[in-house]
Amino acid sequence: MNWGMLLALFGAGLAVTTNCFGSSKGVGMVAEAASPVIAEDSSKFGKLLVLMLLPGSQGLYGLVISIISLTQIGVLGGTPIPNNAQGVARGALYLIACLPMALGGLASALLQARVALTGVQLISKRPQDSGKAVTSASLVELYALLSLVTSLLMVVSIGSINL
Amino acid sequence: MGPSISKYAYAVSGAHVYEKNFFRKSDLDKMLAAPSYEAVVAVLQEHGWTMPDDTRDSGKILDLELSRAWAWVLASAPDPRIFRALILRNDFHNLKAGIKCLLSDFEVDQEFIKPSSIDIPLMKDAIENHAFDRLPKPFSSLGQEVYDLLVRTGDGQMADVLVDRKCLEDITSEAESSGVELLINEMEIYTATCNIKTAFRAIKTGKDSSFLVKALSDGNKTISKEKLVACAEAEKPMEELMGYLSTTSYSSGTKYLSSSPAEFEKWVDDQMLSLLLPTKNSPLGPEPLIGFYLGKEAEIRNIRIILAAKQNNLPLDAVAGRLRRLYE
Repeated sequence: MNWGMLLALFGAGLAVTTNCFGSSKGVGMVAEAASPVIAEDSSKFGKLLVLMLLPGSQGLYGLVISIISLTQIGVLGGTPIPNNAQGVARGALYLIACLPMALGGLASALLQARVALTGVQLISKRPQDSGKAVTSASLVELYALLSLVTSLLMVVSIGSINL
Repeated sequence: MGPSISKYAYAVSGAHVYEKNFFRKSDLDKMLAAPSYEAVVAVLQEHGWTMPDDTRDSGKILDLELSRAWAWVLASAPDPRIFRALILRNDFHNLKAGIKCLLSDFEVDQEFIKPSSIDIPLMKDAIENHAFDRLPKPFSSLGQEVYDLLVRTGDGQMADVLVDRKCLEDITSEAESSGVELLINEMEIYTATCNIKTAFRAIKTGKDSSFLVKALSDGNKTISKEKLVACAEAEKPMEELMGYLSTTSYSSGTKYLSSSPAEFEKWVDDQMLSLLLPTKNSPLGPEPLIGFYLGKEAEIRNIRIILAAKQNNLPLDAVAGRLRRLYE
């Protein structure tokens, strides 16, 4: 059993799974909340669509980290992780590198959805304030981006670490 | 415990959309200034209220609207059972009123209130046929007990005491089993103030402490049943009661008890509504739905006052002072 490869694959899988879970839950919640508003006034759909999409970005970020990890560990090209003690350490590093995105993305998707939900109410009552609703929800996106950048830097740097 | 709060996204958003059609203070002022009952009914109709065939029957108009709001809560909430405490008092009222009507040869359902958790036809059928076992607990045993009591003694007051006490205790336990703090606090105010009113009336009419032991419900956290009973045993019971109430969280409202019971009712309603406002704009959870329904009840209470005023040509100033706070 190549434990190093297993750990690295677990990290890549975790990054995409937790983020897709957070994003699907977030998008689902906002879309559910938007339905009664759209049913009342379908012209608000365009404004609400942006809010519905915002918690979905974390799923894409998780996918990016997952694909880059796979290209580094020999699954989608690159040098495969060796089946030895150094390989286990390298696999563990990839797992650790994926964690900022896995956890930061999950938390930010769910919290962004909550902000977007209040935005749905705002648009329902005052459609002219849709910009404020979108801006508020976008602020949470910053922390998903910080998680992405951190994981990205860690994943691409592991290859150059001399274990 | 109810479902996860994230499941409330659709229902809460729907409630916020529905609430946009709630009347505001300015709408009530316009209705108060309307020239006639018919003009007020026309405003309600314009607002989307469903009208019965006979619009002269204001009770039916209000019943229809409240039932519509309740049906919406039932259809939208992920777990409607947690809202049962909100309408439980209607079921107990229907049981009590139905049995009394039966024994007085009136139509059993003529005093029924909607919405109720027990289907009206089921309640009517069970009472008419003395088949209380068809009703769910606790209505089956309570219905039989009240029926037997009224047939045996004709003591309507004791029947009221039995039903009202059970009602308040069940409301408290239903609210607590929901695990929703807002609902628990709302029902605490409701049940505690019911006990205060009972104690006040009992002491005023010279009832002894044994009556209060039977009439007051258990389970309140903000009012002590033991202390209310002890007030009735004191040398000057009314002074003792007022003294005790002044030490509770209801002190600012109890000053109205001796001057105007209607003013005290308004104070209680306003207190209950104020409690709803901090969670009014929550995006998730059962609180905005509880607020929605109780807010609708407050609106309907105000419309009832306005319609009654128009039907009876009451002076506007007196009526305006009776209007409750709105959910806005």
